[in-house]
Amino acid sequence: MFYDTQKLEVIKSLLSELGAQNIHVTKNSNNWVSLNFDFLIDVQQVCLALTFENRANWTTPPIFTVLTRPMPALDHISQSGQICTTDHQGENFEGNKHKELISLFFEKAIHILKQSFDNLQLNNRTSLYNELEGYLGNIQNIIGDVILHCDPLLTSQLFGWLKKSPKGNHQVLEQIDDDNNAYINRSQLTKVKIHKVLLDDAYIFPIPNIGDHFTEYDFLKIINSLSNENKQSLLKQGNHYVLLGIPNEHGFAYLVLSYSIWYSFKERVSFNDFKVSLTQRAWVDYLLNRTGQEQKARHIAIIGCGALGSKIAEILAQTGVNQFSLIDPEFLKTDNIYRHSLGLQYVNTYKSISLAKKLLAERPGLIISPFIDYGEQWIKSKIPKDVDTIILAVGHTPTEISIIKTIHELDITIQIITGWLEPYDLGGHFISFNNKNLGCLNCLYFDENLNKSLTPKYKFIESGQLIAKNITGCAGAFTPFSSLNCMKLASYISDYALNQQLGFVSLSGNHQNANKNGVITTPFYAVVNSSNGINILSIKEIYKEVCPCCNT
Amino acid sequence: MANPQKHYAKFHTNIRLGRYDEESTLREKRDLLISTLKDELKKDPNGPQFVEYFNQGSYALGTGIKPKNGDYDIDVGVLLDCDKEEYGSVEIKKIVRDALTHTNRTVTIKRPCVTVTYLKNGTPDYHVDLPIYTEDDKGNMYLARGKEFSSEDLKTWDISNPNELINTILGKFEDDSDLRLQFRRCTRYLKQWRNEKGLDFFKSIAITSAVYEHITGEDYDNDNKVLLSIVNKLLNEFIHFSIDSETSEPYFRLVINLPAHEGVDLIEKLTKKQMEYLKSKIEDLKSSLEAVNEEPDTLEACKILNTTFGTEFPIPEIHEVSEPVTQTYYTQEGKSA
Repeated sequence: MFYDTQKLEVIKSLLSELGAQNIHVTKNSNNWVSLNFDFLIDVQQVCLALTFENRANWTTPPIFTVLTRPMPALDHISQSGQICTTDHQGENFEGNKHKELISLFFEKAIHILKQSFDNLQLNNRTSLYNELEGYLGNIQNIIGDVILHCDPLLTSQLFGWLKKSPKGNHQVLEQIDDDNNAYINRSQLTKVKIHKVLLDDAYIFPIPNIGDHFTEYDFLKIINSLSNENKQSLLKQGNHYVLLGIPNEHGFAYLVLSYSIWYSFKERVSFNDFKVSLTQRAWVDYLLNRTGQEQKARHIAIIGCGALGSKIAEILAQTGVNQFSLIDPEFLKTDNIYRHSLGLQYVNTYKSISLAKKLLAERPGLIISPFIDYGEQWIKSKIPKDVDTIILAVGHTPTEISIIKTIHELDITIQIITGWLEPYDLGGHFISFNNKNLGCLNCLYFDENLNKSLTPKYKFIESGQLIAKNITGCAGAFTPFSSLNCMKLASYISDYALNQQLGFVSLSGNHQNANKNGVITTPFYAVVNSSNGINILSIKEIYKEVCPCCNT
Repeated sequence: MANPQKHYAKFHTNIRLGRYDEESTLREKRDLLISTLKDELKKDPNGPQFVEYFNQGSYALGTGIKPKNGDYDIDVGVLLDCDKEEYGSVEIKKIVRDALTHTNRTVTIKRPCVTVTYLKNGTPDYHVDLPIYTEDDKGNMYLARGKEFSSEDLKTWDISNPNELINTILGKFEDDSDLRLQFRRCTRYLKQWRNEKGLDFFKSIAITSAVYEHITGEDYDNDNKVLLSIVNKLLNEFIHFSIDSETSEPYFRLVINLPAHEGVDLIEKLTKKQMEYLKSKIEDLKSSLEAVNEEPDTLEACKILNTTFGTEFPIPEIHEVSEPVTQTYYTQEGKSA
């Protein structure tokens, strides 16, 4: 314990200097110290608590809490009375400057309290309604979150999906959608209709006092303000599931209420199992907004859903790109699961289909079409007209060049990115070009004298070395490629795909593993490695006029 | 034996209609004309309306070369929604002409199309040929033929399938992209040779069809060998007996059929004199290509080709050809994804 009586006296006198009265220590445990005190704000006496960590170097700033009860709900004060003195923008502070931190946060807390009291006086509750969900989240009888799969404002009919509780004696509402959502596995769930009530005026919603619950009587007050039709519907005998929207400056705060109505006497309403839940929004526009992104009307095809392709798909699926085609004719094998996005449970399933299923289950709002096809075949027969980018993650040069020649025949302009990894953690490369410009993957396969070459001009290992390993007999020969480099390369490729940048990029990884295995690296590897691990060439620099592929 | 393939590649770069500079200008002109036409036709909702456009000719085939006189061209078929019974073939072309007339271009009605010419310093810089089509209920397409002041019997709607030729030719190479690329290169070489030798009567469509007919996947990396093979086959085709209408002398003609249309000879209008001149020039070409094949020195081979195809065929510096190249056919590259 850092705080002894002597040190606590210092804090007390500091609080006293700041205007606190009746200061006394209420807690001095191993972890936390609390002191209660009174403070006069204008003419109102408020009882406050100061809580801080019981150690020399704080990682949490001091906390001030309003203890006076009853106390109406106040702006920037949580339902438990804690004054919100941080701005949710990340913080850093000198954790050992206790007195300075207490003084600073004391001032902040008092300033907030003053403003909150002023707003209460003026009946200006705008801020409070804006942060209503946060406030209600601390109320004890408001339980777990219901996942809201569609924007209630844009959805006319909502349905709830009930799941049996683990003991099987009652059902819990877990998800709400428009009955048209691919992310809910409906097989074990019961469907119910959701009554949507979007209030015209936030003030209809009675915000519970600090420390109080939200009860059925509060809800009845809301019902009383509604139309007769709504009243009758919400108070009918039976089970009810209501999505209540309370307007604010950003849209609506949403609560889900579930209850049963019984009429014990004429006109006497009796609520059973009254439960209130908050919601978690899971529709795509909202989710992307949380990442500062917008939905992009792009269609990206990924040919080759191996380690690299799967990681690119995973990254791009979280960037707002709304449509994907995933093309791969093969099954996932156990050998690859330590570098593939799909894990053990997907072994012996088609990579393209499983990857599409995984992404669809995890990221709402995406359109993903899987194809069990070879890339070239898919381009010739199935490529949709709106594909704007094709990412080739095949790792096999003859196949890639053949596909690229096919893409060059298309009338539409397409960005093509081909990426591949070097063995033994050495890194990887990718080239991003388009089928209506000079410069392509094939241009890399000419030497200085413009003679055709089977190895690319820019590579990390010297040709002619035996690099494959064999641990399970002849059929098990393989070349080791690292997952970390795969992820790194996937991130860069995704960035180039998103921003439609062009160029030839080489990323170097660590050479220790290569050295250990006696693999000789090229001077180009040394060049990239000494340039902070990245080398970027323009397409103009790699273009070869003798290339029969792009120069046709 | 020399294989000046990479010098052929440079030659190809020099002569091909730049897909990325000249062609992009042509594409822009095409897109502008199409959108103007669409908008103008919409102004009269009861009149003919734009349905779609499609590329035709060397642009669609990818066999274009830079023109001798700098007048770049593109052929764009335009399908309009109109009843051929209601509109005359020239009447519809006048509507298109009026819709496209603008100060920075001249629009003229030619027999098979409407031609839009862009001038630069008073001389034609680019032109876009727009053959105009309509369709009947059964999906048959008709080309509007005739000029403004043609006699009535030349103003016709001719049944036509504009995509058939392109589809037939490209269809042959559908599963062999290397052969398709070589077909384009060889067609371009022969067009350039035609220009160089002043054989203007040997039309592009005939050259394209001849290469289409005779090219086989012999060696994708030896254009000289493949070109020689095509030339040999052409020379072997001067077997069609004919009698000159002027002198009544017998002679043997070359026949080049329109692909998929046996009996439609694309060079039937060539006179005996032209035919013989063409044959002698093809024989010269054969000799040159054979000489290249037998020449051990690449530099010397390129000099022969420079004489054959003109100055666009590069004569390399000594250091560019001095290194012997060992071609490998398989390597373990060590890459993965």
